[in-house]
Amino acid sequence: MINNLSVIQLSEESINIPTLDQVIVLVEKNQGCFLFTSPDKEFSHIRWIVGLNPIITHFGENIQTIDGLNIEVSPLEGIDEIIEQSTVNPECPLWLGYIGWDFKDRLEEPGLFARLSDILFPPCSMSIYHRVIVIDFQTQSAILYTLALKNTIKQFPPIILKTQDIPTHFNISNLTTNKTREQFMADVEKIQEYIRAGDIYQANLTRKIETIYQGSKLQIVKNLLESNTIEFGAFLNTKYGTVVSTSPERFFKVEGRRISTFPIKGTAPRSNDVTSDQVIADDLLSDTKNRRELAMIVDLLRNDLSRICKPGTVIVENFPQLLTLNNVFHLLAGIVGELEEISFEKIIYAMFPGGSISGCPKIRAIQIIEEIEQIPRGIYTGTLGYIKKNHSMDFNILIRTVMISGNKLWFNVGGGITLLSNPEQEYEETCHKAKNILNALQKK
Amino acid sequence: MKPLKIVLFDNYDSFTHNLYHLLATTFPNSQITVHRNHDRQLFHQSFDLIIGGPGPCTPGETGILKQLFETRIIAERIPFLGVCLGMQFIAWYFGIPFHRSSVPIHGDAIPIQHLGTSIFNNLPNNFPVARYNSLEIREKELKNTELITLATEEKTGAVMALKHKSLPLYGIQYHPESFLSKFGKEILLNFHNEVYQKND
Repeated sequence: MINNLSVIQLSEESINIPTLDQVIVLVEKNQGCFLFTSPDKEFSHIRWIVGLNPIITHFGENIQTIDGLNIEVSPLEGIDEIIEQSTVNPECPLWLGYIGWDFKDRLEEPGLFARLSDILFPPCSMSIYHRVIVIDFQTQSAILYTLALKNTIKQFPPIILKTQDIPTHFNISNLTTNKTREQFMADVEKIQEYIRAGDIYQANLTRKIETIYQGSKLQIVKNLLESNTIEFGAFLNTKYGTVVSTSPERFFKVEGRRISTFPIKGTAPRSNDVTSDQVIADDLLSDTKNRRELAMIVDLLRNDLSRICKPGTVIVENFPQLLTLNNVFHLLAGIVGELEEISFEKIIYAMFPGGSISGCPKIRAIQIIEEIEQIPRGIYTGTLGYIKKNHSMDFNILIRTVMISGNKLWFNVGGGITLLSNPEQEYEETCHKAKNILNALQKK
Repeated sequence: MKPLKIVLFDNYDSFTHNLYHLLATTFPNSQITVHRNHDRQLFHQSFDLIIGGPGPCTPGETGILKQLFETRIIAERIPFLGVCLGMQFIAWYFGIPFHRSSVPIHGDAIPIQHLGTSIFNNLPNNFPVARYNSLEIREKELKNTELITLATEEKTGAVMALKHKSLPLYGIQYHPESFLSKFGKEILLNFHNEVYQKND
């Protein structure tokens, strides 16, 4: 069945660069997906990718097409094959979408993880879209690819870039969280007891924050997308709901056979004063807790890359490096390797979920997270990104990500817990992260 | 060096494949297979040496390793190198208690003290090695047992490497495969020389 599934390119044309408002409206109206890298980073290309009207969607264990076909597959089977079978420009992004945290149990031995699932969003959703727009702000160009299922009968209306004002008014009320300060601090201590007992070295603990919103969803989306610490953001609109990611963290990137990954640990708010800003940066670089936590994640990611890379090619390029964003510093490391085989499916089986938002050793850490957090994380701490026809890939870690469905809006906040964590500070850090999201949401 | 069939015994750990790459680059012609710790195929499969990998929890929580020790590794004198939990397993197997570490460290390098013998042959003293352990074996508790201390952590006196007096069983508490550790390859080559020099 998968053998017959492929996509052809109908056309490729230059178009005017759409505005952010136009993109937001298009994505909203056409079950679209918008991915972007933020313009204020020195080491990444400024680029927008927009997909509109899904024609094939991979839900993890089944593939659905716009023609009504539904094929059951083993987890992630078919993604690589459909890329191979499709005839489109090598530079065209084909699959856009996410794999949620809740998908993790499908990728491991049965019985290791609970089969927890968010009921609102499917655990995995990767789509090939009818229209794909690639906007490059360095060359000031926008290319529109029009794709179709091979042998399809389905017709789509043309896309029209209208100047349209997004309604601005919204309000947010009924802020709730699933863990009180005391409960969260007790959870931190539980994890530390597991660390002392030898079960793990680190685990990422999170709590969920929920609100009710009324008014303009698109203004909420726009406010979030314009917040300024985004490394790899996204706005995805599906029939199940909306995902807005303002992630500062890249999961992995593939170009040719080269795969790279960039874990982040440690956060320090910046100062307006140059001298104290430098002191803050130096303190972060020499902080034992953050350095150790980054070191264990580096070894963990070396391991995950070593499962799919040629022996001897996995190299730590930067440890630790200072990542300077507009309002915060982070510690960052870079690890690269040469893939034995370029396969999205193999990469995800080897690396998912990301080490920086699970823990170490990963399997035991996830079991402990499930035991302590008790509720499914849903999409949060999964990964979202794209795969081009030429198999280049770029995926983020779904943190600082807001889910919207019905009149509900929710997100998680968390942090890495080690033996050196202070429970109170860990709780405060989650408050700080929540405040950043809520401020971005409500900026005027 | 003759090609080896190496078994890498995986205790559901997140550093197993770092060890795999270290083994593959140290012994390039060898055939290395990774088995999770409940893989009963190991009772029948033929192999030349086995690496007891690191892992979560305690030395008793290592799947079929105890049974494999009894029926194959000790019975056939198959060379065994335990890493972290793998080292603690050797001690536990011979009845030596493990303790919660007085100074647990995860993800940092510490200097290692050794006598330059056995698997530390020709290596400088106090080279940096990565610690990822909350449990430890204590040097004084190895006295008058079948195990010998090869290296310790100066600050705490915790055992950082050990070997058996007569069987080809070796253990390292630290992580030679970590990017923070020096001389991972040399340790493996020394281990290889130790277990094969008498027969080659």
